[in-house]
Amino acid sequence: MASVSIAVRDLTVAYGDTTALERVSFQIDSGQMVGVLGPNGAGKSTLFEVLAGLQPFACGEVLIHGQPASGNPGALAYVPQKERINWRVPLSVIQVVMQGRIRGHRWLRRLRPADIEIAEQALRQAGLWSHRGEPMASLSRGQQQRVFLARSLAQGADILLLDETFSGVDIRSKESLMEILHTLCDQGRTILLASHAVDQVEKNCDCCLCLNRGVVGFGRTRDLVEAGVIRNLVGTV
Amino acid sequence: MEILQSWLVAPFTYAFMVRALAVSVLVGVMCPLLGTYVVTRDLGFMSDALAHSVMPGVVAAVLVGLHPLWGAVPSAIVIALLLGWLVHSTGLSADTTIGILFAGLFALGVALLPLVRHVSLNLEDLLLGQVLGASQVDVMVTAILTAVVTAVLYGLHSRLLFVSFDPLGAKVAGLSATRLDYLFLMLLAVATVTALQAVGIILVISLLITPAAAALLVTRTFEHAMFLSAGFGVSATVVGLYASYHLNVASGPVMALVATAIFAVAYAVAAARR
Repeated sequence: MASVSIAVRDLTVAYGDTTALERVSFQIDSGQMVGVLGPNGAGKSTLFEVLAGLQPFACGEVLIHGQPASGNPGALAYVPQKERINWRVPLSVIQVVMQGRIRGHRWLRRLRPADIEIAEQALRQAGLWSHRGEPMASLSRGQQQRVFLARSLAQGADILLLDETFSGVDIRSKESLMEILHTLCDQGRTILLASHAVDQVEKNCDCCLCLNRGVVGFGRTRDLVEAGVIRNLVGTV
Repeated sequence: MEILQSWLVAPFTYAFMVRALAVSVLVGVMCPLLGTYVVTRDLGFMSDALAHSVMPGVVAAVLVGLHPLWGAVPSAIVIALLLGWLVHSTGLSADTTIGILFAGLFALGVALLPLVRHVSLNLEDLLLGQVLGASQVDVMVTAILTAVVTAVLYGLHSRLLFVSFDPLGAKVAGLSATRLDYLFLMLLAVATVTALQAVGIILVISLLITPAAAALLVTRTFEHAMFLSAGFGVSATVVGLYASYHLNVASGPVMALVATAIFAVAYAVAAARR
């Protein structure tokens, strides 16, 4: 039986007078790929920030592997939207992947050979070893997302938060990314995929969390499609 | 040959020129190293504001008979932290917050200047720098501050790079981005006031921004840009020092002009490569 990876109960988040999430409850087992669907402003990014322990919440409970979210740094990794990255910082592919090992290394010390080996292995798993010395900015959107996935692997996180990962990615790269994500799920990692690409979510995610400030629907993707929940939400996506 | 040798060596038969060279080289290394972060993180206005905002601290230090740096360094650190706190805690944009503090504190510094008329505090030197007036103490203080800034930068490099590149990802990975931001602002404050001796309040931005911007144009990685920008910074300050001596003009503006010329050449090289 799979262990519970994420448990959220009655979560409410407010920014001043504006409620971003209201009484949100769901539970996700390890090794699941869960699509997070909702229109702009539905609270997807807020939910990710809460899960990552970055956003305080008014009430409710958020547990990551049975512990409070803020007490679990490093257990989650974040694959960002392109717009969230400062592309003026010229980094090579391998430098970005090595960032996944930074937390464990001390001031004034270089990364240990074991950390470098883990980062290199992660880059190989993402199929980008031959690009290791290239500047990040020179890669295609799909390749960049694979590098961020490699960084998450190097970090050793077993919960991955993917924020609009498929936005601006060509079809072949999408397939290649999905292949990697399925492999990661088979290895027991939990993946939350916030996306506007409903077809991609329907095709690939076991489960779906439909958000519109509150939970509109949560369960097996097929059931939500058959019940028309996703179609109703898609009208607003 | 002999003329060239005399042109190069003659200035350093004077002790004040040797001290000026030492300060120029140190500042020429430290500012561009930090400047590479400043340019990529778009903190140019912040750096300029820090330089202007230390005026009251400098005047206060001189008023009680201390070396200006004793006033400038603590006040720059306090201002940097205050700026960081205001940006994080108010709804105001960073530029607005910086603009308010920058103008207010610079005006306060100028208003306080008449209080120290009895002491030798030359406004022009403060604004445009006077590296030729560097004392033995100035050299030592600059060396210590440069060593501290460089060491902290080396120790935090990979973390600062992560936070600069992907702040949210860094936070999720467990780094304290806010603490690193504050620490970086403190380093920036120290570097800014250290460079005041060489190029003054108005031109300090030229050592922080221009060499780094030039290096980023012609390099592919952050580390290469850092090293090259330090080379550009030293070139600008040392060539500026020679020019200042031989042409009998103020050192700070010449250093800034040389830095700008280096940027123009780097831009031409980058454009030719495209």
